[in-house]
Amino acid sequence: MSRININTQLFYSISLFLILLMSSCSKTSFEGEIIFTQVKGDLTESSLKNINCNNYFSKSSIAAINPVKGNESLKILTKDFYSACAPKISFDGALMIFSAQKNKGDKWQIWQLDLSNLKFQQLVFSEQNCIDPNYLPTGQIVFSKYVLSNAENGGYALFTCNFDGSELHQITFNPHSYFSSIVLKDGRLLAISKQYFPEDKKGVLMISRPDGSKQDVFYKSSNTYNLISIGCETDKGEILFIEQNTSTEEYRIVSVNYSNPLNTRVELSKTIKGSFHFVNSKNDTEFVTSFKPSSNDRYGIYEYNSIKNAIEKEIYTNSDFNIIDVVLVEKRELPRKLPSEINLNKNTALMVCQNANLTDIETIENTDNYKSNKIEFIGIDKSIGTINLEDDGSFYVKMLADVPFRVQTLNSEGDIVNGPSSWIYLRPNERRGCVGCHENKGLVPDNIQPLSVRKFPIVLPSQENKINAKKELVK
Amino acid sequence: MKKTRLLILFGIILLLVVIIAYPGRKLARAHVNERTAVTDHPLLCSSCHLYTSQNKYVSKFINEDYLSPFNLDIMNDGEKLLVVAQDANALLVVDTKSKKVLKNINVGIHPHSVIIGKEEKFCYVSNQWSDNISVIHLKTLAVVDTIKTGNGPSGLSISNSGEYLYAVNTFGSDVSVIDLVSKEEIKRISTGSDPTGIALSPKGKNLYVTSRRAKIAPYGDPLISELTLINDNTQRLTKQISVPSAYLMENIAFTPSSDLAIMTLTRPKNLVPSIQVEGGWMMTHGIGIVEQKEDGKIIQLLLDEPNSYYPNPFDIVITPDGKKAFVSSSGVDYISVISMDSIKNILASTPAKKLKLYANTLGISKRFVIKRIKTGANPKGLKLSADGELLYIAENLEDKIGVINTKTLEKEQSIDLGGPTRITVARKGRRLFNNAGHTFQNQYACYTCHPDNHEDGLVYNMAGKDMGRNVTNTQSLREIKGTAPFKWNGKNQTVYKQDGIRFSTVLTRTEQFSYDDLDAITAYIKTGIKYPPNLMNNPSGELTESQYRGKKLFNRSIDNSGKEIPENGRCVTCHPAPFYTNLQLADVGTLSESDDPILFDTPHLNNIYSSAPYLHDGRAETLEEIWTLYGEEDEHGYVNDMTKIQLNDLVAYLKSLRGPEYEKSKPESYANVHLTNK
Repeated sequence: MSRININTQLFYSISLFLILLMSSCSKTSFEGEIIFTQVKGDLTESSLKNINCNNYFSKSSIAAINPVKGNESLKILTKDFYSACAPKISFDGALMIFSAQKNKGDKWQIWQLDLSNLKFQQLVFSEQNCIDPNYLPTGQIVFSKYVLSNAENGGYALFTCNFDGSELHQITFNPHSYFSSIVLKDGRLLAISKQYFPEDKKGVLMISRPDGSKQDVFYKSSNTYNLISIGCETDKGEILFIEQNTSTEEYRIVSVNYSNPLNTRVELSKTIKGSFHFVNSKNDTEFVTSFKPSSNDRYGIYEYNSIKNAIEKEIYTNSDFNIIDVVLVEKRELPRKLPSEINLNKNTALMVCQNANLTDIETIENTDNYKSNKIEFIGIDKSIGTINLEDDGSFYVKMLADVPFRVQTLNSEGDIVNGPSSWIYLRPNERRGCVGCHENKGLVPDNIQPLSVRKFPIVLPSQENKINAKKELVK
Repeated sequence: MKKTRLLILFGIILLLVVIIAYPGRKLARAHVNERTAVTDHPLLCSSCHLYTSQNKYVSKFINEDYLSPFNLDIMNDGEKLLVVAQDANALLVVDTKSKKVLKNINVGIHPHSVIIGKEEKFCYVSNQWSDNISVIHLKTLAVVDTIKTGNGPSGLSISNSGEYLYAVNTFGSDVSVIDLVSKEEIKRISTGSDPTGIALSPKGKNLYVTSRRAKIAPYGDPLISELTLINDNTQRLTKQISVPSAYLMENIAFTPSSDLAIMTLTRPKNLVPSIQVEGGWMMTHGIGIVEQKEDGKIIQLLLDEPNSYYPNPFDIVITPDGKKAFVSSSGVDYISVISMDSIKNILASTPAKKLKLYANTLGISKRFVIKRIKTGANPKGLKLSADGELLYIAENLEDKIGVINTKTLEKEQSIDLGGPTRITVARKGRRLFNNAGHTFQNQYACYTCHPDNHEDGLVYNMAGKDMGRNVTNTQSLREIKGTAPFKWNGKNQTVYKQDGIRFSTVLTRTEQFSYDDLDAITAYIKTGIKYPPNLMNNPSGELTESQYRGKKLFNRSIDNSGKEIPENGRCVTCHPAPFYTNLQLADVGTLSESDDPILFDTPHLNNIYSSAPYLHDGRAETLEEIWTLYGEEDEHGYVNDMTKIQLNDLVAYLKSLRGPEYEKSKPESYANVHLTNK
């Protein structure tokens, strides 16, 4: 009896061991590999016509290569898709998210590939194009989705949702298109943001909390440069991205320091001949890039060393394909999970400005002639309201949330003193503070209690405007 | 029969297991949920019942005796470092070559600073909680004398003549002038509030004393702290210099040419609604540069950068060649290296108005900070070797002395002072308390608003619902274990809830504490923070006549006309010992128009003398004002029948209150017996 038991136990143990062994063997590991998007032929016209984002091409595909094993390790991961691009890897290195057209003519949608079993899952089902997805540390994803707006054309707003597509929320509301978003270690979202209304403007690096609140400019290119793509944040806190020199048409790797991004720009690849399309960091000094040595070449994968300022080695090139982005499959430190003050059950938000007459360090000494005493809030298609500034230049308003507006200061004659500002929006229940109008980005508030907050906030739009707005909505 | 017994025993055990496993677990879960205000805190009994235990045996088992180096001085030959080990009540003599501790000299309680006398015969250690100075002979390395000072001696300086020792009295807000021959205090000079830092100009004459608390003022008035200038020759106060918008001016140093004095400071934003951290809306940190020429200005420059802050700047030293200054940013464990030439260029090339604006400009530090060097936990006091080649750093929560080569600006091997290697839960909590890593962009640590684990004397607009409403007086964190609930509205039943998710949403605005960290910071707050002894008002436990009379008034149930005071009008009803709080919410008639209609948690009164301003919104600048200005309707105790002398007595008694351990079983004092027998 006992002999039978022992044999039975032995049988089950061996079976279990074999099952575990087989299941572990069947898992695919991409650890240490490079995943990239390749586009056959020349990089002609982006398939996204309504966005100045040149990373979306028909028949693009996502592939993986082991940098040690070389070309024979090349695997095409998105064979079943008509087009696929913009891969990003989850923080644990186990998943890949990307944007793809399943069939010709489809809208771009967000998909996920489980790198352990190569199973695909569509995360977002939308009637509009959804592009540039990325992972959030909270277990959600962020991506850009085309939205129609009151403004002409519409553009790509940022959205977040759970992995199953639930809890889908738009988080940006100004007439800007957003793309190439990444998450910084402090937990905030960084994306290229381009105003498209009332006129097109150059892209800037815009930062916000993952709920879209506290949005602000992180970095602005100088006149001769255009932002192309954001790479990543290195362990040393350098933010890497690609800028196009509009006079030479060359694409360069640029870094700014997280601590002081507006004043720490370094053009890393200045003396290198050739052009970079994308950059990702292996470590603080070695970057994996999409690079072409000359205009006759196609973009391939190259390793760039920032200390030596040199292309260290060619990892993968293909004369038929351009490589337009590269990501490393590795575990990464989870960014901070930021708490949110947003309450979607509310439809208003608060904003305080300490002194609307404070404009910039250089113009701080403005005389009384240039002092404003009113401020006007302008929506997409009409004025939201004009209110008096307090004697100290402060104002405190309760605004409708998720509605874009600009502000301009007026003198007692109603003439514009300063403005209109860039587009602002407030999230539901958000409380935003600003030091002044067109303030210097490094300026912190003086330790003064604004006169405006000694009263209740002025509600905008006024009741009259709200009634009109409702009537229009009914129409 | 035996089988039946066994079965019964088995049944009982089984029943116990089932009870523990199911209803027991359920009960434990409910208990932990209630305490932590979350539903997923791990069910670890040790979190609360072990690490916050004050049982002396348990405490000995779970805690360690750390050294906590705080300040230091060095002999001229650079061979010996003298290190104040604050938690060990000791002065450590360290050989800089062998990097070994040569001697551990017991001094007074909670020593603060050390200074070596002019001829290097003696050194002097200020004992902040003993109100005295230990005099140590540097050859025998023994304490040879103890000199009485004012209350809470901290920073030290030796007069230009070498004949006098200046000891800054933090609690008394004055400076003791001590004759080093007679070893007696010969006079006291008033300073700004809560002073610590002191420096004598290299050319003698000017002695600056920095203060840490701002002048108490009605909420909304500008924040001003004072820098005290004393003449070293006459030993008289020359002037009190107002430093606007700054406080926590911890230390000050002169350039070798005496053209500038530079102090560390913090620029709080307590008058601005606390609606965001981004853009320096909560705290900024920097230096104050005091020009020594006639009509010289005080220029404030921030050490912070737009997305990275360097909170709680503590000490500053300047190299003998005047080229570099070093600042210890104790809230982020960094030394900021400053180019003095760059500072001078900024001062020379910038119009005055713009300089004023620089005090609020993040990123200006890019123009004068040449390097940030990482240190061990909580860098405090700094000292340069006489030749200026080595910088020594008291790494307070690392039990080490960090060493930096000032030429290469690289770290050298630290000096291990031999403290415990095990980091206990409470020690981890103390590190978290002092480190700004858990606030967005490292803008402030718990310590910033609660310096010395106390409170900063400021009233903040926490902007609960609307901005500008519900301004809040910062409360002390000393010995709060038995005083729950917390917050003025009493909504937080435990420290766990106080420092939980809402804390991160409205205050730190970054990822909330992990549960391990929350356990650690709770353990530290509940067990590691002691009241300093109330030597100023109650040095021995014996009440003065006035205090005793005040005690009677505090406990009275009959008013001056012989009428019975309703129970809720008696002080002692709401403020019973040992914490002098009944832990209940109350309306004492202090709700203002800018407050939401709430009741207030009855505050504890231990060491209340050191917690001005008073009431939930800090409207009472003194204890007296609670009743003379804000107690007209007798809603905050029945007091309006009292004479002025009686009110003085009551206040004198309140100021005599000490930590709860003294108040549990209070022995009858001499005065008490004496007066009772009369």
